[in-house]
Amino acid sequence: MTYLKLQNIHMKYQNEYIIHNLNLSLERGELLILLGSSGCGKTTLLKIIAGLIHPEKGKIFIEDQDIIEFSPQKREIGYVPQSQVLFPHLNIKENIAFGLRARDRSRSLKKKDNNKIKENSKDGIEQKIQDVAKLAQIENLLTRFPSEISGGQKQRVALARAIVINPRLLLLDEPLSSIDASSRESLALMIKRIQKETKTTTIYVTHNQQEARLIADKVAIMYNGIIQQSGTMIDIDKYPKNFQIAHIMGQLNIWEINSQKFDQGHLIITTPLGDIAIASKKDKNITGIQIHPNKIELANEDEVIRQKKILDLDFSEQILIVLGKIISIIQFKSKVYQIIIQINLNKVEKPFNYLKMQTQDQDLIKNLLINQNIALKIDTKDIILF
Amino acid sequence: MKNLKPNSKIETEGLLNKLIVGIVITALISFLLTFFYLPLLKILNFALIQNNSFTFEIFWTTLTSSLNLNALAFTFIQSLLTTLICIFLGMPVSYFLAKYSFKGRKLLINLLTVPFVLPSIVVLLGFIILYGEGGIINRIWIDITGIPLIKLYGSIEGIVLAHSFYNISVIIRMMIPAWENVDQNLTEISKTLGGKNWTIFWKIIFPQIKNYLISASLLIFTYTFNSFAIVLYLGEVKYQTLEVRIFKLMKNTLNFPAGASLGIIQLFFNLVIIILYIIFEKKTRAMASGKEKPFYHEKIEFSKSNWKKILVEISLIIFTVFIIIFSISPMIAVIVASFKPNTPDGSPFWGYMSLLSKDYESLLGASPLRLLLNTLSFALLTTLITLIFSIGIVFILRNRLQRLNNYKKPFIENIISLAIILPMGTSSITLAMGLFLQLKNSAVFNNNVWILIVLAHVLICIPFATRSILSAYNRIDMDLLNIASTLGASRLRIFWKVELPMMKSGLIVAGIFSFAISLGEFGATNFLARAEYGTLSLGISKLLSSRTLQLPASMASILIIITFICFFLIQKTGEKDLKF
Repeated sequence: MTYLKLQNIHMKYQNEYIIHNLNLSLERGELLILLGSSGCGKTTLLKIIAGLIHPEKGKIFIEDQDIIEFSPQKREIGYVPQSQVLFPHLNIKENIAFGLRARDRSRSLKKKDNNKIKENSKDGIEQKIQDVAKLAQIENLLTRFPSEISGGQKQRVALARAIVINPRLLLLDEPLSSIDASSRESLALMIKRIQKETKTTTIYVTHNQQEARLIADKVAIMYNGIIQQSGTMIDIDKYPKNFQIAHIMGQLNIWEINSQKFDQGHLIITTPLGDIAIASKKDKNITGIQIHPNKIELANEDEVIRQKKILDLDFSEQILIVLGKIISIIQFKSKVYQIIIQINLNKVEKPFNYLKMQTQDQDLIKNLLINQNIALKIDTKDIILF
Repeated sequence: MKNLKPNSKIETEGLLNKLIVGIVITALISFLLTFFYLPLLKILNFALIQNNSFTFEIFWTTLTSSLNLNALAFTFIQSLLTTLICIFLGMPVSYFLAKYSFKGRKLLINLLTVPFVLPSIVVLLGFIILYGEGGIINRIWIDITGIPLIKLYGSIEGIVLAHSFYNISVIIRMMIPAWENVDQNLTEISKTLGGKNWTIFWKIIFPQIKNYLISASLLIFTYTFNSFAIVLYLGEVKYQTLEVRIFKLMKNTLNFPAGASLGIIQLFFNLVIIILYIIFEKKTRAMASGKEKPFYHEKIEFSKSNWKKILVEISLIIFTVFIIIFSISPMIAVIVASFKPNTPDGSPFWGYMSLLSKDYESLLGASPLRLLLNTLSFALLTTLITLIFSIGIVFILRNRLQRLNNYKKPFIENIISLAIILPMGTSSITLAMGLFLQLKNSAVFNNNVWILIVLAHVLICIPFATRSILSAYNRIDMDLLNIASTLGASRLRIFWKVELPMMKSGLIVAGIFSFAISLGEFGATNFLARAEYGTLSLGISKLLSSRTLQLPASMASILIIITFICFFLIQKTGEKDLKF
């Protein structure tokens, strides 16, 4: 059964739709990473789900119950915004207790004659705080004030504060954005661990695909106001639906194409790499191309000369030759080297384009020098078209 | 299984919140309507309606009378002069205090701010003791040069000097953050790019402080524009501000329509200045918030360096010391005068003893002790009412803010801010005049005029208080309120548990500031007060021309001490929320 379902969400920002007919669904206990570039409406979407802003149109279901008319108080959704905000006048313990106390007051009156009257009684609250503090490893910070702890600790407290109310859904907005690089990974893993231990269904917003790779159960990619593609990380890596998605997923060697025409069984596309002819039976609309870094090889002189000769005559040649200059060579993994090549189109006015090539050939690497001009060959069959 | 039923408690709290907002809005609107907008209409009525028909005649004859035109011209000229002198005197001091670190720097800044909150009549007394005909400084000057340094009465220099004394603190206080916000990196980059010092100042530094300077100047201009007590006593017949002119028309010649017309003219100019001020103040805030993080203000330590720098530093120090002496000498003069008997065999405590006597009852309308009690109780009442209303205003604003939260243009917020601007742009005499015209035949005016005095004080204080509270409120991160609501806290709970504690400092400052303003308010009180409802300020003003200044100086000393305590408390709690 689908646990969370967003249906036809519409939202305007200053008379323009930033979310336009968005749909999304999520299973119980899942961690969904919502991936999209800055300003694509991710934060707005979270605020809509939390009930902080009301969408123009749309429905939100949790377990088949439409909560769109519920106030944020009633939704029981944990929300951790991008800015690390703790109540500055309360110490860490009181910060965490804030939600429990608020609920205690609003519930105890209602369930007067219930047996579980004081689910959030004084002892109950204390116990819950201790539990969640242990979970988030902040036991020793409880008596401190927000101004006295570090950014990473603040974020853990914010997480604990959101999770302690046992929310039906947890929303995290770029939780690592203001954390220094060295502690990002451990915090991300902690979030994942807490999420799994508490079995809290979670939406985690980020623009950083590396963060997503670290912890995602499922990824949803958002731009132009809708979810463009969702699935597991592996699925999307393998079959990105289009050029933008490949770009957001941080894939290498992807380019937009400038123009295209169909001619004698060939699709001729103008790209930053030059004109490329690809055998095709019919004309089709292409938005971009991608070349896998390990599908690129060095070309020898013969191939370069041959390419020059036949370029204008016959496109049936299935090899693309690209000339360039080596900018850097780095050891990427233990045996894989990555070479960054500046593509030389002899057009200074254009922005430079760079191509990344990966190889395991140690002998090849030994013979290459920075700033050296080289020719590369790419089999046009290896070019992925979007 | 989760609780899926709608939470009725929260529902009722939501309703309660709406109810409270409704009540607060109604209370605020009816307060402002009865005591501000209706009186304002009454003023319009007096100015523009004659024999039940609309006419510009009174308005026009008032405006074109040479006496009134002179007053208008003088009001502008003295405001402009004061503003320029304050900039000239205040800028070097503010630069010095912003850039150099030394022991007692904070104390100095606060000491220099005290004149601004000092009751105007106390300042006047201080000036008379120092620069008056038999004043200390003039006597010294005559000994040296044979002529008096300054003619205090019936001269423009006396008025401008007293106004400058009042307002230098505005420049100093507002320019310190400006100098601190000057991006040192930009200056350094310009130096590496080969910029000359003078070019760097005009092209790099000045644009960064320009808006602060303009806001501060506009503030000084408007305060001086509406000056009353000082001009009333020092200007004699020759020099009158609009404020004084209106007062005389209303009280001496009983020409209500003319007073009302002038009031409208004054209100118009005030609004223009205030709106300009708000525009420029917004710009300074935008500049400050556009910066990623607050700069680390690197303060210069005094150190041995080249002679040119030392020369500059020494002249800065001398200049600052001069301004400090200028700023605190009137207060010291008043306190000294309070212990200085008129006759050789008089007691130094005669002034303070007389506070308890009934000898001056006929002259003052009440015993000095009664005046002191009046002053304190008016101030307390004013503080209380002002705080309640200011919290109300902020409460309404926050309800709007939270809902709109960037997604729609805050239309209602603009209307509310406009409704607050109008009282801000209304001078105390105009406020009092409106209340007087509206209620002059009522039982309240005849029997309990103190109510009207307190109301006038409240109207004068609300803009200051609201701005202090808003300053604290605006520092609260909206996301914090969002979190609180997702955690299940109702609107009211958020208000009590998050917003109120977080704007506590602003509230305290607003309260103390209101207390201090009410304590020394002179214009409106003087306009409205009758019989036993006078204040210390009024009492001092009545004794200004008496044989001995010991009694008024004693009364003024009490006001100085209370003001000092107020200011000390402000400094302790939340100085950054102090808004002029």
